[in-house]
Amino acid sequence: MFDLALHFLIFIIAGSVAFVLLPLLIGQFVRPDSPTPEKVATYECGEPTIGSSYVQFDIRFYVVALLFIIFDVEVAFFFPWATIFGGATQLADPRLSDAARMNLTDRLFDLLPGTTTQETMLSASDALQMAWTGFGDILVFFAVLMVGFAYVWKRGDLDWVRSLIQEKKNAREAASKASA
Amino acid sequence: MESVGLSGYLIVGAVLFVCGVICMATKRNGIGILMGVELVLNGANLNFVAFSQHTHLGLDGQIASLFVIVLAAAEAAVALAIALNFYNNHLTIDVDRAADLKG
Amino acid sequence: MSVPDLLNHVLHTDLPRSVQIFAPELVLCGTIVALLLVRMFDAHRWLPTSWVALFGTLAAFVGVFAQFMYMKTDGEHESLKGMFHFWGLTADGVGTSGPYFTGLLTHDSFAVFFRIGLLLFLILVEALTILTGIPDQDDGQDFYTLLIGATIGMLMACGVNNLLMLFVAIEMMSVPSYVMVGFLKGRKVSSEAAFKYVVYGAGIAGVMLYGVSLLSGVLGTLSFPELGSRFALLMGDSAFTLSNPTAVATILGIMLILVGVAFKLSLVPFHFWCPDAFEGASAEVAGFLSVASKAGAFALLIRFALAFQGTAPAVQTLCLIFGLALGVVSCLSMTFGNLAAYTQTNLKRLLAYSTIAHAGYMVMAVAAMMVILSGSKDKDAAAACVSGLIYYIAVYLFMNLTAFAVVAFIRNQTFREDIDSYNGLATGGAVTKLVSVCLLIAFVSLVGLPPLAGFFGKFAIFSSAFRAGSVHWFLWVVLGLGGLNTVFSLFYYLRVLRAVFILPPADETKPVEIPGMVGAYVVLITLPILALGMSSFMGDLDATALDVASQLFHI
Repeated sequence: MFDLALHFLIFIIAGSVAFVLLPLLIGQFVRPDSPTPEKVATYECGEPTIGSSYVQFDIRFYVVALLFIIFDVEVAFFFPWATIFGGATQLADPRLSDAARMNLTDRLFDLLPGTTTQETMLSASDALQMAWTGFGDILVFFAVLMVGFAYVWKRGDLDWVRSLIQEKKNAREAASKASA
Repeated sequence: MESVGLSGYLIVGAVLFVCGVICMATKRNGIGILMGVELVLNGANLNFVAFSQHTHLGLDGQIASLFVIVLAAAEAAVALAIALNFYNNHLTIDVDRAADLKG
Repeated sequence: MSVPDLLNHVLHTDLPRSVQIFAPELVLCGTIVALLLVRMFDAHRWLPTSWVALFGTLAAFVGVFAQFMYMKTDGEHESLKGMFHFWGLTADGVGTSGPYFTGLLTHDSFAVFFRIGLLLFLILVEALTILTGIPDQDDGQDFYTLLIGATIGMLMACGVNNLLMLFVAIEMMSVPSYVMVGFLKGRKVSSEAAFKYVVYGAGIAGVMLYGVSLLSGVLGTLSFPELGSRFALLMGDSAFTLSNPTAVATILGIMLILVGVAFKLSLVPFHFWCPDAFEGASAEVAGFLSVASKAGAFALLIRFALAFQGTAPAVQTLCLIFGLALGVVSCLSMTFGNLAAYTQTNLKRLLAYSTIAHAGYMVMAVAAMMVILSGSKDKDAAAACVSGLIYYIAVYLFMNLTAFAVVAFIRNQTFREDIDSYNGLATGGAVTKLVSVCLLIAFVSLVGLPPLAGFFGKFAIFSSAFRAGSVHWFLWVVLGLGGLNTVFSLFYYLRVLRAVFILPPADETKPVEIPGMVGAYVVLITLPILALGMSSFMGDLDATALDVASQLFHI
């Protein structure tokens, strides 16, 4: 067992090193060579790379990041739903043999293999009902999520340009204030 | 391969919790404190998952950890938005400099 | 029960029943979606978002009220038959108390009563914000979404029956409140208050969650009804000592969870956020937080405390420790809140410290309940504690709302919130005089002087603490401190009243003129303070509270 793990480790490390180095090496040979100062500069998401690391990043990154966190993490709720929905749709197939049906029921409800008997296994119609209920649940959940998303979109919080416009407006106001 | 056993997970969880609490208590930077909070939450989450594997808690523990992940993200988003607002008004996120209010 | 039976039960019995009970909350969720849609299609110009919110809340209130009447009359009320039918109430659904949503939440008249109170309060706060115009037309939907979202969390807290739900409910009431505190844009103080609140709150939430994970892991369940019996089973006959790992882990878990609840209740030593948040937030939001999140958290605390009932000696010891810990916190909160309130110059800050002190009085009732349960089997006495608390919270709702509403209205006129700006308020116009009298009534009731409602609430709580003192002497100490504190608190409330009624107004300011509509609102929310103290309503509320509390103990 330990040997197996060690072999896996060696192969994964060797593989990952090779996958990094190989493309770089190939690129070295095939790419055209015409450097300009901008091209040689290290790329860092549109921020100047040299200088104090205590600069403030563009504030627009934060807004997008905040919205991303919210909508990204909601996906976590899809995982438990997906396992149940998948199991239920499998069981909804009336052509399954009893043995397979018992096996799948065990797996769906996280029971020890062999717990389910002929009497307690999930019938196709019950499984279908369960699948449809689950589908309805997720539709409601997703619809509410989408309303939130549409609201954010409509308000223009996702637009890169809107914040640019806002910024220019602020700068103009500040300038007019300063001149006054 | 031998499994690690419940106590191993619990010790890692407790270490994460203590690190997080120390981080919350000593950091003066608002974002640093929020990082400490994330450590604490993850310590608790590790407990949940370990308990779900090794005790009668079963799947309840895993569902709890999923809920915690989502709520933690929501809380982090709100906290960061408020931190941003604070920065815009004060030009710092040092909690010690937040002294307009006495408490 | 076999798997297909279980599935059938969930789909055909539990789900319809749950949806029936949970319908008011679902209406509120729908209101939030409607608010966003109204703003999205720019319909807010002819359909103000505040009215959408108010209408949705009214509908939810009617729904919960129908549930309450149905439970009270067993669905026999003739004139309300149509309403019962409209909300689809049945004897198996709302008519039967017990867990729903597969045991995540629980339904009984205690939960329904708290939900009525919370929704009534939400309606009043929404009316207040419409009158003071705190959210402007462009961000009304954001404000009401947060307000209603927080309230849904509190409504869930009333029926919590599962440790996971406890965490979810607390987070649902906390997260929107962080944003609401910082809602006043471009104000330095407001952003600072929100920042402190969120940092502190997030930290406490993490600590509480660790407690939940410990408790659920040790006892192997998340469900409240099983916590006590599992604990008794694990302890067996062994005594409750600190060398027993189960006992230590359980106590640690409970303490960490109590930290989270104490934070929501702003109990000393977890109160630091409260004065800052109240000073930074607008008075409307501060009023909402001071009453609603407290009511929700108290319902949750009682449910959590009652999860540890049992006859085994270990459980009894646990109850006693639980009760005494709450008693210590109660002493600290009362004393600290009242002492710190003396030196305040900002009225909202003063009210924040008064809120801390009042949380101390209220938690005394829960401490008394736990101590009584640990010593005797006297469930009637324990129910009396809960009914005293319910009465107090109901009265406190109107007292604090009046105080904060007056602060909000005066701020709209003078743009100031310090106590000096109230000098000579009573010399203003007729409506201003009326509002000053309302403030007087609210403050005198907050002190707890007869014959106002605050006195009877305080009396009920003190008498239950007195009864608990015969089980453990410490509750008599708590009671004594409570009495002393009541006397102390008189002085700082009187300082404000002196400014309003006796001190002359500053020369250069013109007398404050308050619109008549506002005066009517203030009178409307002040009347219950009088009515609940001096009329037959008091007996009604008392009887209902006792009825509701006894159901909690299955008497």
